[in-house]
Amino acid sequence: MITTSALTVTQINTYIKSLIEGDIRLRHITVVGEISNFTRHFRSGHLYLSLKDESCSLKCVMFAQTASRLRFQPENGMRVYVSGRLSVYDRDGVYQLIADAMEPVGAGAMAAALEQLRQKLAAEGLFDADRKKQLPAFPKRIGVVTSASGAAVRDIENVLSRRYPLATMVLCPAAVQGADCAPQNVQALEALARYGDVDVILLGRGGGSQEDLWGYNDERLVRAVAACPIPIVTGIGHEIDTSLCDLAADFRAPTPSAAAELATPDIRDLAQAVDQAAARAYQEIFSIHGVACEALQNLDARLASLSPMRVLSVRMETLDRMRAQLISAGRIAMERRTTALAHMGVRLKNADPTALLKQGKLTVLFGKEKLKSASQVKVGDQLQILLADGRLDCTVDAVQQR
Amino acid sequence: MDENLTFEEAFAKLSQLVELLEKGDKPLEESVSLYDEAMQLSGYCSALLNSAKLKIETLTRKQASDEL
Repeated sequence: MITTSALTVTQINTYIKSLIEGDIRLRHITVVGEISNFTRHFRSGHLYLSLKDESCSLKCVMFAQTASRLRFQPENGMRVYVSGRLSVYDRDGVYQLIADAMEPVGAGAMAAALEQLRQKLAAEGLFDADRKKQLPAFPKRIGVVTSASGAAVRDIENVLSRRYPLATMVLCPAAVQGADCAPQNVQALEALARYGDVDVILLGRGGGSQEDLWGYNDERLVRAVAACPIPIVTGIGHEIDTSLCDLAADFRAPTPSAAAELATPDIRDLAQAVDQAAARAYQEIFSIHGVACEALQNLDARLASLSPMRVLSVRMETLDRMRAQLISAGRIAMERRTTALAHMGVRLKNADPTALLKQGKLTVLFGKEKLKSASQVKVGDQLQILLADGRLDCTVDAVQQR
Repeated sequence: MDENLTFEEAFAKLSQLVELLEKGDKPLEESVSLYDEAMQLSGYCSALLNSAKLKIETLTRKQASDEL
């Protein structure tokens, strides 16, 4: 034994891995086989399975992210095409197919048939936008076509209870998968249209495999949806699923819950709208009242200025003022005259021709007596006027008594 | 006020009254009575919303298919 050239397990597995992954022919392969040992890892969501034929088996893994895009539910015994690249899981020394796509054998034919039907119905105008009916803003009675026992009916009921409990929900149960699905859905639509007195219909079911949802591609049901006189909102499967019913419906929602939301207003928005309307009314009456009050005050003010009392009082005031002016003017005039009189008195006194006589500065003698009055003399009498520096002898020419 | 009004009817009427009020071309007395009516309607609408409970009926397909 040549122990010196021994390889480690890691070395050999790494080498094999490089050989397989380095082979360009193994990078993009599609393998057909039957599924066995299928498991979905409960935590990671990765799918593990073996593909087998009569004599051989090949390990496959599909990682969770890829698996989430699968349109069907893989099962043991199902014949499928799996595409991907070949790789080695070094820990176990196992080679395996890392799958990036998987579809059931026959799915291609189904898809082709579906596409043919879609094109035929589209050509007839079943999916045309101008066929779509409007949804009522406030639906009173809401028809629901789904299984009475499925999750969808509970989801719809919850959404309607929360969003729009003013409505009545009219459930018309129908199978949501299998051969009964299409005919029962058609009957339910007809029953609701005839007897349900509903103003919108929600039709759908929760998620499932493509086979489960196949009934919603049935030509009879698609035509019944298009022909229904009442607006229909579909919510079939999950976001990624689009059935021909979805195309024929007036509105398409990704899920049953979403269909219920789409078809109804939210009671919280309505409550808010009511409050807003009330607030606007209040605001308006408040301002109308305010304007009226102001106008009233203006009128009051104008009225007050026009009242006879007001006119009278204004005149009284004027009168008072004039009287005061008059009194004050009179007093001033009086004062001025009194002063003037006093001045006059002084001047008069100064101007009195008898003052000198009274002061005894000028002395007139009549005979031997001092002349005291004009009445003492007559024309022709002789008078003597004594001045400080001499004497004047005078004859009276005339007597004028005062 | 008519107690048989649906929410839709009552709300439509409420909106109408508010618009009338907002036009502001009505005499004061009429505005006040519009306001009173609007307040009654908004109370009625709120009461409808607060007391509403989803009703559920079931319709069987038989009724239709029997006649088909």
